This record gives sequence, C-alpha cells and structure tokens, in this order.
Amino acid sequence: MLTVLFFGQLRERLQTDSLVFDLEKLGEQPTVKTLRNYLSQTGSVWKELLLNEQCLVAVNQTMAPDTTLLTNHDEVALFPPVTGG
Amino acid sequence: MLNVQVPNTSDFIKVQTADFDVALEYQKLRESEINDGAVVIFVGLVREFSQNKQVKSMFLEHYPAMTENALETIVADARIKWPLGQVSIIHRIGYLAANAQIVMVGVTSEHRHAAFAAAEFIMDYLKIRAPFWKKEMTNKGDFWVEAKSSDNEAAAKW
Repeated sequence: MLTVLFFGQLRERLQTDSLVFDLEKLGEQPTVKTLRNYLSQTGSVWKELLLNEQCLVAVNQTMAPDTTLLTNHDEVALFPPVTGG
Repeated sequence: MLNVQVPNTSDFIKVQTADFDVALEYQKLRESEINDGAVVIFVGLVREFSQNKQVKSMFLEHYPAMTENALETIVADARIKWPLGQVSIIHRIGYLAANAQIVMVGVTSEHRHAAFAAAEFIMDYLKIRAPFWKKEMTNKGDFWVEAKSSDNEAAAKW
C-alpha cells in the first residue's frame, strides 16, 4: 500500500487530504508518473491538477522526479509550488 | 563513500504557531558563537497589501513530516559554501494577522560577507524548497498565494 498526501490548493480543490492506495493497481515498475496518470482518471479537477507540470512530488519526504520508482509503504505527497517565507 | 550531509545538531530550526522575539533569538545566536564577528538576522512579515488587495490575515500550511528535513538540508548546503557559526530558522504556521512576523533566519560567521550571503541563500532556498503554502484572506476574498518565477531566479544565482 501507498499513502498519498495532498497539500495547499491541491488538498482544497481535490477535497482530499490523504488516501491509501494499492500499489498493484499501477502494474509493474510503478513510478510517480504512473501514479499521477492513474489518479488523474478520478475526475476532471484531478486531471487538471495532477497532470499540471507545476505539480510537485515528494516521495518519503524528499522531492522526487516523475521517474522515481515507488515501493510498498512509500509516502507520496503531491502539492503546488511552495510559497513560504 | 556516501555523500551525506549531517546537519549540525546545534542549529536552531523551529516550525511553530507562536510568535518569536528577535531580541531573544539574537542573544541565543551570540551566546553560542562567541568568536564570530558578524550576526545577520532577516525577518519576513505578512504584508498588509498584496496585488491591490488588503490582507486581513494569512493561513500558513505545511507538510510536517518534511519541513524540518527540508530546512536542515538548506542549512547544510549553506554550511558547505560558507564558514558559519550558528544558524537559526524559525518559521510560523497557522493563522497570522497582517504585519505579523512569519519567518526569521539568523546566521553568525567570523565576517560579514559570509553571514549576509548565507542568510540570503537560506531565504532564497526556503522560498522554493521548504513545503509551506500561504493563503491570504483579503477584502476581495481568499486566495492561495501563487509561486513567483522570480523566486526560482533568485535561488538559481547561487
């Protein structure tokens, strides 16, 4: 299983702060990109936000590119560009 | 050998809802590095006017499991570039009123150039790497703050 977290405007517009996801749904060699593609099928807002190139991803609390391989028990966070400071 | 940056465990890195007292934080920086000749402190505030809107308050969200690690990594990167004594970062979260303090970065070094540069470097990278998101409550509605391309350009200069 994967834990997927959403922050900021993504969390608010998707009306979801987290979900638990069965990694096997992504087939062999699951990556950040295949996760984004899979979740984007949930609905039009999901597609708009998750396939947006501005959407950032952290895997296990470290920024990660689309090519990152996912393994069981990973924590994946999806969020818009950060605006702290 | 793995190239792992071990954070300086004496750095003060705090993410908190409470306000902070710059005078007190300055004293802590001085007490911990008695041989340094330079202290630079930057404080960021909630601006009352943002793009022609009057900001009544601001909400700051973060990714708790990631934030402190992200800040420690930025400080470790600064320590590679400059000889720093003590480093302090305080970033507030939750609801903040207009003109409230949001963030403080304090750096000590033997000389001013390293202290000025490191404080700016830490703020530039905090702006693009630390997982915080701001929402402004204004007289024209509530708006998530958009990231600025100028922030990426500022960090790229290092």
